[in-house]
Amino acid sequence: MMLNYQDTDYVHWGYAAHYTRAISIIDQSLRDLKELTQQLPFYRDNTYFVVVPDCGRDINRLQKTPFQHHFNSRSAHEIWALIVGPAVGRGGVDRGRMIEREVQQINVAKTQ
Amino acid sequence: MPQGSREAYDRRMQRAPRVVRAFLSALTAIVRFAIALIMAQSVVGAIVLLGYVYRRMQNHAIAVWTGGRFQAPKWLFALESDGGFFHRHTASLWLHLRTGVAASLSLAVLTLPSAVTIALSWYTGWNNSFYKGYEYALVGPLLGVLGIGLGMLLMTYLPYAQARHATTGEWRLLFSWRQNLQLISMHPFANLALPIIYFATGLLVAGARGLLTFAPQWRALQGAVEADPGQFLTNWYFYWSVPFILLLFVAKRVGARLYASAIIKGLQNRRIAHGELHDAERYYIRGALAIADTTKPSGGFATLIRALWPVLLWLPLFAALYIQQFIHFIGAWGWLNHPIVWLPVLF
Repeated sequence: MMLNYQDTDYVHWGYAAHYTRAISIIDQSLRDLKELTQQLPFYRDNTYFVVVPDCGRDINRLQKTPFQHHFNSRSAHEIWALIVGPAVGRGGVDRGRMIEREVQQINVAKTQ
Repeated sequence: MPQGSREAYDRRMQRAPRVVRAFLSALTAIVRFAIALIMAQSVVGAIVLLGYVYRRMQNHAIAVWTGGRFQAPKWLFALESDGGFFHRHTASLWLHLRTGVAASLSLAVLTLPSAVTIALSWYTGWNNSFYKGYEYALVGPLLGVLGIGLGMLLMTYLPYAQARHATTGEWRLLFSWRQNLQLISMHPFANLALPIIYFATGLLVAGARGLLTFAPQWRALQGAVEADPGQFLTNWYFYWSVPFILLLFVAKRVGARLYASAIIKGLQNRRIAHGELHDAERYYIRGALAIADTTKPSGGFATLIRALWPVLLWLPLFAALYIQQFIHFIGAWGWLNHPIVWLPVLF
């Protein structure tokens, strides 16, 4: 199942608060979602969450609202991924570990 | 400076070699321009600068009517004063402040209806984009068309009306619609210069703001941006103010001179009656021509067409503003204040 949160794109209005506020709303929503899966037997302890932005954001210290992504800056091309689930941490990967390695989006899922 | 001192100074200047006079004139012009640059760096300074720009417009109009040379106003000192030391050395500054406050308030009344409508179009347009309010999809674009339409009409009208306010000191003349449109209609083709010079000035404004989005990606600038972004911004706007203010002076000069010559033409063609003019206009224009006291009947619709036909040429000015706001949004202030139209401050 894929959920698409668009709230952060409100920043295109031009106000930084629209971005930071959206992040807090999405955070709360993800927490609610995770708690819900733990309450439902079908999803409990066998559900994985992969949280990933569809684009990065500009980091421009000259702008009041630097969180756009139209201007080909390096940071606008970089995204992160958060993977949460019962098997994460097995097979040699420490739980809670942050991996800083450049990976293309196309490498994440098999494309057979 | 006191009248006696001024005359003594003028006598000394007349005796000075030509090269010395030219050097001193150039130096004075540079200092006056440098003060304008400093004024353009804050809102309060921009109000004073607006007053200074109005006095320049007044001097341009008077130069047309009297056949004399344009004299840039002094920033601080009174041109003539028999007052005390403080008055002699600050009279012009106070005059600029008073003129700037009156100008900024009256310009706000004139320009904010279209500016607020355009700002609303931006917000409702984005709002629809996110909420997917298909039934209301036309609200943003229609508000935009309305606001830009009002803005284009306003810009067709503003340069003359503003020059008239600047020249007479009477803010009510900014809203003297019929007379001002009559004046604008006197130069149906020369008026084409106005949208061109205003657009060129608007491009400088859009460039100064918009290019900041890309500045951190330019290698030559990266070091300065990362070291102190605040200082970088201060320098950036200061140096961009140089060409912006130069073109702003040119734009206002063109408006003031077109307005002044339109009055002469209107009197000659008997489209404007001597009695309709403001006291200040009558005073300066008194020796310029044989003055008509009656007017020929004129078709109101024909006058409107002659005055407003270049209205579409103002569209690029608004297009540049929209593009700049998309590239580097500077808040509602960016919609409400265009530095060419209201307060001459870039950020």
